Amino acid sequence: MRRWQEEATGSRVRGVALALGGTLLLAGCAGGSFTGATEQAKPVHHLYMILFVVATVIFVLVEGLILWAALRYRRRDDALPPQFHGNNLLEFGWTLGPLIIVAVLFALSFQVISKVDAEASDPAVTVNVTGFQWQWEFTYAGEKVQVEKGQPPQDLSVKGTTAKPPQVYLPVGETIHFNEQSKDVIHSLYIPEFLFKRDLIPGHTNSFQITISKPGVYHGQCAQFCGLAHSQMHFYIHAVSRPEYDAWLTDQKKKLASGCPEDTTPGQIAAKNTAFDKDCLAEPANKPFTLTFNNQDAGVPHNVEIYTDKTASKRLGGATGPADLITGPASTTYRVPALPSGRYYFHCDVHPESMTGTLVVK
Amino acid sequence: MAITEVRPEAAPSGSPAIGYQRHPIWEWLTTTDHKKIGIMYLVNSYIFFAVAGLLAMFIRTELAEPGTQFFSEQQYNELFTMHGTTMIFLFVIPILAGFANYIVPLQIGALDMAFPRVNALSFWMLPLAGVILYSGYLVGGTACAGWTEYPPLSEQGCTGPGVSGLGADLWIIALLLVGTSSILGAVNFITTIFNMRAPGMTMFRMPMFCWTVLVTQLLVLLATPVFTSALVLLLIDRNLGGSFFEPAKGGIAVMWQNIFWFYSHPAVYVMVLPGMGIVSEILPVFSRKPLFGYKAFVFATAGIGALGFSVWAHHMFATGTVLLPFFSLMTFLIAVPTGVKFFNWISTMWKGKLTFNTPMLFAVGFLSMFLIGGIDGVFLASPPVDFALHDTYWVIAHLHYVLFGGSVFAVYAGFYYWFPKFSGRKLGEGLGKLHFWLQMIGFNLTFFPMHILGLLGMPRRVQDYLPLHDWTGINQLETVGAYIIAVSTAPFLANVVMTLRRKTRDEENPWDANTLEWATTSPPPPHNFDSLPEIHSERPLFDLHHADELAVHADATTTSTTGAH
Repeated sequence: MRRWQEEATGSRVRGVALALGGTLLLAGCAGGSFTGATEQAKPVHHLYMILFVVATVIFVLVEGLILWAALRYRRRDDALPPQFHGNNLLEFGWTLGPLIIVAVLFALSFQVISKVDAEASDPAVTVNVTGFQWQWEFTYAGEKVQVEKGQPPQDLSVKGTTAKPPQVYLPVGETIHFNEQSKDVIHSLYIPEFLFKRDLIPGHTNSFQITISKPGVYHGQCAQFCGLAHSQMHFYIHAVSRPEYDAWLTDQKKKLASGCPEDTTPGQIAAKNTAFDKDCLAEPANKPFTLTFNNQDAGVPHNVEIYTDKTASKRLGGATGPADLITGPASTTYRVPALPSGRYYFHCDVHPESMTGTLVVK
Repeated sequence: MAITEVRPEAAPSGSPAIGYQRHPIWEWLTTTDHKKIGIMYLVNSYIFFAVAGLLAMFIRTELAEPGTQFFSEQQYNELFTMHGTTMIFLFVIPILAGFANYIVPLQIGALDMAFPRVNALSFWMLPLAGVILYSGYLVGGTACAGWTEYPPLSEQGCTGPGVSGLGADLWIIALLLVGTSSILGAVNFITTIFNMRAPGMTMFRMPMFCWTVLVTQLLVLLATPVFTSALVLLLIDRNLGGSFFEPAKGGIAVMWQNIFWFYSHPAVYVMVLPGMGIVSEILPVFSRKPLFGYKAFVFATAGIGALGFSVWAHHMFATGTVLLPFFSLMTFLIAVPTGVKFFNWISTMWKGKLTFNTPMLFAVGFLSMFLIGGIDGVFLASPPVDFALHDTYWVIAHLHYVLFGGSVFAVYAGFYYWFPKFSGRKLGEGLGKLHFWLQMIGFNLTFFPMHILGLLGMPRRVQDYLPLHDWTGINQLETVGAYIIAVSTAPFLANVVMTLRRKTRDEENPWDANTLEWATTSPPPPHNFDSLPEIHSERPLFDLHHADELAVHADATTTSTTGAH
């Protein structure tokens, strides 16, 4: 009876072992689905596969020994087994063996570090990424746009909101240099298919370079927990051919220079997760207009206040002042007096750093 | 066999009690008996384990579907912050300290800890810390920046509807208490082990559990003060206008990470080494053999402790601010002493006579699961691979294979093993085995698929995820697994209650174990021992009971590494 029970336990042990081995293999296959979409990621994937094979062999060997010992040496009588206390040669062997294995793995990793961290002095495109709670701004260094008459031209930038993540275009097969900065807390730029992430740290600039090898749309998001809407910090990288990239640049510049390129619902703005759903508003010049503001943040006060410029010294319309707030979920309609054509600035008085935008009147 | 009289004045059992009788509740509240304090550590820690486990169920429930179902972002961020903080600081570290409290003085043949009142103080700080930590729920929100509380996020505090931001200060104060408790405990354990061993109990005759506790407490003594200083700096930054970690005012944000991990990485070994010690007690007993390679095991434990201080920045590879090759090499190296331990454990079972009572099942479960946590951690030691996997669910899988597959399995193994010592009764085998298998299945169902989620790019600490790459199906599987883990604690609790209500008692040494804690009654008297056997090896009771067999196997023992003489 007792023997029979032990056998049954043994077969359960074996069953679990098989299931575990199966899932481990599955994990390896899943790892194969992201083979690395950049030149820098290819050696990383290669290294991962080496580690995976070594890990699997060690797992099968050691788990096998554990289960073998557990099944083979079950107590069958009351005699005392031989009382051996140790063997120095064996200890030496199983210290040296793993030491050699980890030394080799370290050497392989060391080589790949230099490939992943290599930076060319003449990248084709330089993108300055700024992380903030809770989105990204990608600025193309040297791609100048004349956004305002009389002002020096600015670098083209793509800024997202939680409701509308940024769509970033980059050319395939060319070296792209990223400089990373953060406005508030630590974020991390993570693109799973590039097998890479690097933190954006306030007070410190990080940089890295990639060369995307395959055209496609790559999802990315923040990997370093950064507060309330951390999980909403998505972005998309569109890797396209050089001509398509140039066409996109030209198109973006034209839209930016002409005013507000993306305001498809004039007169409306919403707030969610302490962010506006759009960063520019387009309105007609020299006639009063209304602005419907929908605050979707339950329990959080927001408003929309229009100013002449970023210094926010002179209020032009929107809310009647910093005390004029609405707490979501709620909607209100602001009346804005006629404004001459030009570019103005708006923000939420409660969140003047993170909730900002441009009002284009023409 | 000569007997060492340790308490010649001790009253023989059955004689009237000396002194006045106190009410049992008052007796427990004021006790300085290491055994009672140990039990209180175990119970208090298990309550926090249950609370943090409940939070984990909430986390898994929210993650079963993309979108927001049950918890807002703010609530979710509080959930995982409190889950991690509670599990680490109020469950794993103190419950192992609880075992050490009860068992170490008995194993070295001491009457109590070196500083019994300090011991009581160390314990009572913990429930207080827990109450302070959880009082955040009463004052507008708990801490919410993750158990790592990285500034500047933790300095900024939580933002959201009705959130006071006081939670982070409560978190700091609670951890200052836990840290102080740990430091006092470390001084106490180290003094006890160095100075209070019974005659004949040399360092190299100490049971392996005592060795792991000693190394653990040295780690605590060296690392925890560093962490508590960082907590004070954070408190100053948050409340008195300091700027240690605030870059806008000239501070350095990643400095916190360096200090935090300088403590928290050794703390991982604080959470695992005593578990390894427990398993090293159980495997020999249920294999009826001595621990294979005792000295190698001691050196491996010390090696892990020493290397543990030079690997902290592997948590920071993705910050781009650390020396990658050094910390990578050190992290790879720490796999070597861990490997040595595995081979010694397997050799301990090799050619033994194994019985699979519940403690042994959990101990072998520890070996099988901790192995996975060791192997998937090696991937993270390689900086390029870490760039891909850092802060994804791979890391969540890894840390749970270490802390659940490792520590929790070891804690249950120790609990089933020493329960007869605590109570005089063995826990039921049927319910124990049911508990083990349910937990084994639930654990692997919950945490193994997290490796795949990590490879597919799902970041940790997200309340919501996109319906991408089949993430949903994997998450649902994990949620089912988590519920099975929750269910698995029911047979355990039922077992404890039913066993304690049982009138009959089991024999004093039901496992035929060989260390000194089994040389006294179960449970032991307040003064622990009426008499002690002679101590010639790390297995004094084996020497006592198997003198004949020892003579037969003399050839094997002459090559002993234990230095018996």
